[in-house]
Amino acid sequence: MKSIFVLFLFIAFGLQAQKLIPVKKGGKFGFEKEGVEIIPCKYNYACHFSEELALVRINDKWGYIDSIGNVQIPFKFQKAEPFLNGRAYVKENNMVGIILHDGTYLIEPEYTEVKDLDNGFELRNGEKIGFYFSENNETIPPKYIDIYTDGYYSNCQVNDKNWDLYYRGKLLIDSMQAKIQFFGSENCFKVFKNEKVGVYDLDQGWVVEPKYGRIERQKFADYKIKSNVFDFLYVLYTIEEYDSEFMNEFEDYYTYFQLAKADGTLISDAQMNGLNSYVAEFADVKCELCLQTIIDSQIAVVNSNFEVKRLSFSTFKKHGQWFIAEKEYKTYILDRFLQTLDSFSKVESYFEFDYENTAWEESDFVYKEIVDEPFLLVFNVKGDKTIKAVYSLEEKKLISPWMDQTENLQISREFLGGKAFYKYHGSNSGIGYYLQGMSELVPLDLENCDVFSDFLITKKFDSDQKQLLHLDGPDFVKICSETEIKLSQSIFKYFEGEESERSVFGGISVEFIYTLNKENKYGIVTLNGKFINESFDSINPILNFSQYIRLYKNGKQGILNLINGNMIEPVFDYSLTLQYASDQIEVYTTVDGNDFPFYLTDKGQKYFSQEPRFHIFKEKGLYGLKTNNDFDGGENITSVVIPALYKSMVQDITGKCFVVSGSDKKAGLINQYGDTLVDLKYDKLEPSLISNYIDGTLYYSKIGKKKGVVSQFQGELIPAKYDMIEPFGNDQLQNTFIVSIGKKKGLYGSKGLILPVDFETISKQTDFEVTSITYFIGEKTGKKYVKEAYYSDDGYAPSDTILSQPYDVVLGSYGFVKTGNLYHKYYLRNNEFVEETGDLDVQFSNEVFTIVYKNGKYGAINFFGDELLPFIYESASFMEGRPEVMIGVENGQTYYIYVETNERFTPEQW
Amino acid sequence: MVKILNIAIVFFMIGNTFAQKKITSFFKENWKTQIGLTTYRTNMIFHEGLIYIGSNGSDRNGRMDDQDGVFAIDAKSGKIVHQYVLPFGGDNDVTGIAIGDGKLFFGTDNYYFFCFDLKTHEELWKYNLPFDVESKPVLSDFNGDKKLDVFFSVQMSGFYALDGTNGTLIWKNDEITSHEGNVAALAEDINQDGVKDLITAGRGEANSSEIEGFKMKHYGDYHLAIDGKSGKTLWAVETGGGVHSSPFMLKAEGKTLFYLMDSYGQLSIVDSQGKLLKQADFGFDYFMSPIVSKDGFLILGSESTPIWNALWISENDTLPQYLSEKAKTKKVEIYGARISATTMIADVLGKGFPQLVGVTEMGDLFLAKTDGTEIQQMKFNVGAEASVFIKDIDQDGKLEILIASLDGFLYCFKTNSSGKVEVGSF
Repeated sequence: MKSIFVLFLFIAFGLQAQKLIPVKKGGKFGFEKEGVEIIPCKYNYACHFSEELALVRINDKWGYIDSIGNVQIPFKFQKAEPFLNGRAYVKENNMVGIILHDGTYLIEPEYTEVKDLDNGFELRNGEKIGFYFSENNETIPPKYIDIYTDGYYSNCQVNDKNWDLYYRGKLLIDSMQAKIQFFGSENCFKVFKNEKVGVYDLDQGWVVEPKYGRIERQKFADYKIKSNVFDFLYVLYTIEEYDSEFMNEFEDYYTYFQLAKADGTLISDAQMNGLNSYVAEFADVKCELCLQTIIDSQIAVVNSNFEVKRLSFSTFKKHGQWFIAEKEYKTYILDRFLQTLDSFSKVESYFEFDYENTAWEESDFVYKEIVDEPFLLVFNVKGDKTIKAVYSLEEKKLISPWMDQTENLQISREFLGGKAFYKYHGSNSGIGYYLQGMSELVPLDLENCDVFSDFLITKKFDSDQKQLLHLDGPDFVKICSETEIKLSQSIFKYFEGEESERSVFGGISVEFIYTLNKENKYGIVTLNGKFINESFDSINPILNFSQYIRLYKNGKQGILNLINGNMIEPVFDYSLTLQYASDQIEVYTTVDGNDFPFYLTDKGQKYFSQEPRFHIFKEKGLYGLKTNNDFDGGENITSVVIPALYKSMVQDITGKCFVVSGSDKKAGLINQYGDTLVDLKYDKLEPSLISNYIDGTLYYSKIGKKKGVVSQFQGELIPAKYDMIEPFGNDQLQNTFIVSIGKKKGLYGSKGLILPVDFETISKQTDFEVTSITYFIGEKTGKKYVKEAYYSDDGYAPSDTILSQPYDVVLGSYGFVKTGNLYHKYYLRNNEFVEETGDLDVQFSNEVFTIVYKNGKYGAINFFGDELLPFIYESASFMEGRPEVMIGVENGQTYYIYVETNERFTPEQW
Repeated sequence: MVKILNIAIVFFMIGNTFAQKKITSFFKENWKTQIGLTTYRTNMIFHEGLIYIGSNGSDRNGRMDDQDGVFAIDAKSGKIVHQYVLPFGGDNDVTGIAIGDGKLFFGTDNYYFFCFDLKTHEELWKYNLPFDVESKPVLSDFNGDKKLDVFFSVQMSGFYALDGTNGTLIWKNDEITSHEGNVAALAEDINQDGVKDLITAGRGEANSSEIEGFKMKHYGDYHLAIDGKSGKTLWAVETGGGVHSSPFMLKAEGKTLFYLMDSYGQLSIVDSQGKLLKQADFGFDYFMSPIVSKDGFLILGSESTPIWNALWISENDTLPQYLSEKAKTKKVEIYGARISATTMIADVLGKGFPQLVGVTEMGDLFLAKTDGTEIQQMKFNVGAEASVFIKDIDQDGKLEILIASLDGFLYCFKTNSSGKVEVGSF
């Protein structure tokens, strides 16, 4: 507190120091200014002026005078102090109080001691303590042994056994038998009485009577009681069991419990013990499995409708998103809805060799259980033998052949062309694979197979040839068959004198495949799956440039970009040197070659300056492009980079892009290297004001009267077939456009069509809980249709979900269909039915505030129900990672709003 | 003569689990007097048969606290002869005091500095300040009138020299702030102009926002010397953290050295021109001022908690960096304690050699040889922040040990020793 006022004090002190100074003459005090007496020496004592008033004493009484000696606060105090921060402690009749500048009491002099604390003042009368809350001038009377306050709620100790609870100065509960524990910032407390605990709600009184040994909250799927949404159950520990060996006050002491809703209603009379929660994973929809517990030694589950179901399984174990349960010598695999997927005589997790934790010098190898991968080992009995196979939980089928249980079986799950690719290797059953979506297993007579991007490298046992296969649609297409086809990271070479092996391509961080044919010619598959044919005499890593590889062919050199497959063809006689340019890796020829030197892009395009200045030149009626040349000093614009081929050429505002038209007058976009960015097929391209680093400048395209949008970097975004195109909302940075044909409207995001051209109006709102998800709402004939879209840096992309059913009302994350007086409420995500409800009240809370929908608009309130933000927003959502901020849309404009201060910012300002 | 480069380091740290005897098993309690709370900045002065000590009263935040002020106590009986109480209310806590020219000087937490006449007990003058005065004042003639003037630092503000006769300002140095104003300054004429200069510490602008280890590399803290005549800064030595310890001056081999410690354990040894001669890091949490014994041992006390100490010790069982190759370290570990009082040096046992005498905030009084060999730990009460005071105050030829305990009492223990006192007061 002191530091806040340091500046103020400096100023105050500085001002008064130049003014009146207390002096003592003839045993009396007065005040002088620069040696001249201003206030006569008539006081028995005087302090310096502080906050325009001086504390002075006449006889044995203290009062305050102003700078001309007028008494401002009468001489009535037994003791007093100079004013500080607008207040002064005073003593009257041996009791302490606090006065303000006008002499009125902030705290009446009724206390033996007053102590300045956070949120207010501690008031003491002898040993008894009270509290004064500065913010609202309320007082807890000084009758307590001790007080613990958070500024709002206070636990006040009456004696060794009893505590009173106050909200500010208001007594809420008296004579509790122990301290009250706060559950959080709600008006609900754990209260102890007669050594038992209950739950007390300030509005409702006892929610749970104080008869339990311990009470905790357990997260649960959202549910509603009246208009309030809750996401927990109370766990009411009832029976105390004491195990002397494993006694732990908080974990083992109270073993049995019951579960109750937030209003205290027990969901079951059963005594339970043991609690596993699956809410965090499964409670996004109404599910059959929120909690798992044990009732009468029997496994039971609680679903989101509070139904407690006893299961007939003897064991129940989670594996990823699935469950393994045993019953009568059979093991069942269940999904999260407790539907049986399959059953076997035994089911086990797969154990994998643990490279990290095995000490190689020791003989005991360490294996780790694979608990999250979506496959299991399953066992059955066939005759007198036990056989085993691999079961895919995602595919709900076997993905290996049955084999003897003694067989050594290895499984791996990789991704080939974006699909799960299971490879099994049985010590006797050989290698095979299963690709997600295939109807059959593909057992292969293979020694090995490796996956890379969309490619598969296989080798048969009886062949010295490997095959490179490419996944093309559902089928594999053979690319080549060679003796050597390898993944770069698996190639090792022993360096003499060094202890460890190192990869030949160890300096290359990008993995790739290389092939070597009978003529000793190399081919390469790059990270993006591009196969560069087998024609190179040699390939070599390049020091310090790990994503490039040097190519040699017929004595000529080139360079390949291993990430995107771009290539400088090996046509150069001399070594190509790489250097880092300002924003990318540039390639240029050495100056000792025979040619004039120039730079090359990784596609092999020539250019002449790192900081080009462009000049559009005209030759024989056609336009081309010249730049300056760094190698001749860079002064003069001399070098042709694009020959005069175009009917027209206009430089884009970004400077490195050109709108050109060919002989047919059709317009397109090219870059400074002559690459076509947008095909020359439009009648007109008009630059928009919209620009970002993903798309560059956006252009409105026109073919005839139809309009579309093209991007400088991404090509055509919206085909030119619409009557009208306009940016959606005010947030043009999101590259979202309303397109219309006639009166019907649709919506394009940066990644394609989100809403078909079928609606009268289009709007959007953000999901309350997952702010990266936005719902776009198309409305026609009074019904609203919702399409989910994901937002990322480069704009909105439609999700895989289909267009929703028609809703009458869409609020927050919910859609409502009205039937009579009731609404059927659905989660917008997945159109999943939630409940039948009579009202449209929707509230969502984070740890700081609650968003409320009222009279057709959104606003925010705090936990006490006080309005934080006005109800003016058409949509509202929380902001991820910033719990103190609400994102609201008013009149189509998005705002980021601090809920405490109501300060708001547009996305650009934010 | 002290051999500077052979200085060894004696630590007082926590950790020992000795069962302790009561202090009264060793020293007889002569008297105890209620004076209120004291701090590690509190000093005691013996003057004309009286012990003077400032008080923070019964509550450090109390604003109408009758125990605030300065107590003058009869050294033989412990009876309060006079309490210098300020006439008006407020937070009139007093920490450091100074006596000279028949006057008592002290500052308060109520933004004032006072001078009282020791004979009449009357207030001679007062000076209004922008913030608290926490440190011990220093008396010397700064304006050349042959009378003692007073120097002190003001929390969050600068350094002040007032005319001891009338309380007018001689000079003020606010080039940097005194930070929390805790440092008891040293007075020594380092620029040879006939007026004593002041060695103290303060906080200015941080010159780096980098993090080094667990803390900022520099918070803006400096050890500094101020010209006693003009108030100008003579030199400033950058240090890594806030300074709460007071400087120690060692004159040896014709040199004057200053031992300067910051609260993050960086010890700097500088000469009178501020030239940095040695620097070493000793962990952190140092409020005790460094002391060098006449037989060449540097004594430091850490306020660290057990966990920090344990970590530090386990990492490297010796000091991270010695002051010289020949330096050795020895620790006296006191279980569960914190030390902020500066350790005194006196032969309280009458053994003919000096002993280190220190207190912890948890109520331990410990004795050790200056080389760090532990002699005895004893329990005296609830603990003390203030350094003990050792002197034959009742003039019976035997030393007394005075402890200002955190229970609000000043205790006087009699020893049987007629030994020498090397460092007897803070």
